Amino acid sequence: MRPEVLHPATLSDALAALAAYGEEARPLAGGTALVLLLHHRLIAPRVLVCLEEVRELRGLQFAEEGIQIGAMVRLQELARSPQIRERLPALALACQEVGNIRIRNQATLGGNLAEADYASDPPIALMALEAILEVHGPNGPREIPIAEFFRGPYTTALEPGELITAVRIPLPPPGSRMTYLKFRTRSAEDRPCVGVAAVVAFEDGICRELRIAVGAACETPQRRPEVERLAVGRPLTEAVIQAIAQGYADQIETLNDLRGSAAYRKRMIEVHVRRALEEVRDGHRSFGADAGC
Amino acid sequence: MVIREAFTVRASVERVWAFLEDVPRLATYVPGVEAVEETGPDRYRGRLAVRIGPISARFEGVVRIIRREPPARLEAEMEGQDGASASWVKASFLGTLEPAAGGTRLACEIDLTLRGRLAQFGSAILEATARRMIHAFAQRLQEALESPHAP
Repeated sequence: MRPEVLHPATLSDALAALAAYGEEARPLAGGTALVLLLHHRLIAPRVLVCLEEVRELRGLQFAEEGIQIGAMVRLQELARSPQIRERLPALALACQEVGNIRIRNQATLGGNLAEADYASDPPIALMALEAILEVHGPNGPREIPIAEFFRGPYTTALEPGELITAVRIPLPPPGSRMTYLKFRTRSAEDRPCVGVAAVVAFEDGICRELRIAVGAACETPQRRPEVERLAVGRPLTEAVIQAIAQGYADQIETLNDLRGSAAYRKRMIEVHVRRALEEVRDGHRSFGADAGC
Repeated sequence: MVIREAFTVRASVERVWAFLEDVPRLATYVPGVEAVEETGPDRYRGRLAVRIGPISARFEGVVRIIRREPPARLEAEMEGQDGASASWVKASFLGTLEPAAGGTRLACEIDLTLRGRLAQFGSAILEATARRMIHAFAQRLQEALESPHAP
């Protein structure tokens, strides 16, 4: 049976439709994940609430304190936006690495987060960027820090009837450099075996703040603040980088699937955390304003 | 895929064994089990609901206890099918009990096979879901057996 497709034009209409149909309705953003589930008949909703025309979910807003991304903004737009590439290069790099151009042109940031596939690039970058998710639902709006959003593979903190409306990213501290590294084990279009995002704030060559998120190798993207702190107040020497890379490899409980065994993933976490830190230290590939110091 | 988990319950081996053998009651401690009925000696029929992200599956199937060595070792086989997602699950279970400091160590070995559309989620998700269920079960079992009103 084909689901009926509704096209609300406002957020309140979209929320009302989701509330009215409850479990029988699914929100439809870009559809790159949802339509596959429909085709495979793994889900059979009676109603799809298409979010394409909901104006509150669109657009990028740039302000002093941060950047706000509407939930329906396409990954390709984030990969190409000059402001995102300049101010949040880790996010642009992560979005650029997703699937292929057809997928990126269709998939949205909100949809990507709500799907919560463990092997996905943007959530890892957003974790290192300390993004805040704005969510609206039957009980009004609320904010969810990304660190509290993913509860497991394909499982999020969203309550029934709730929609992600925007993703807010506070601007990283001045003097920050960042990158995102994706490691694939199969095809060029594959999802990551391991993804690493690094954001480092330097002051006169000394690391003031370090954030590293690792994902795709584990059930949800993860940070290890006690390992991150090893770098604070020091220059990123080989020894510091190695200690952090080893710390992440040791502390993350890895998954075992077709993209790599749990043991292999641990080794690849070590390699890619090290490479990401070398990259931000040396300043290449990060197309940030402060890159190449 | 073989999943091995072990946990300790603060209760005697005999009590844990009695609990393990009583399948209909044991089933009420497994997250997602909706109904279990005895269909013959050591044979049961039941329904298990599992949710993986947006997908809900409801497996209908049978459980057979194939070997018991009280109070140390229990082997069982399970088979189920979810019509909606056209998926089949097959599992063999081996539980071993041994006295441990302060109680009983229960080790489970589950050999799990999933075929059909749900299998496309990949082994990592299957394993993560199974482990989550085992941990929840372990916690409920510990609470039940360690409470002063335990049966």
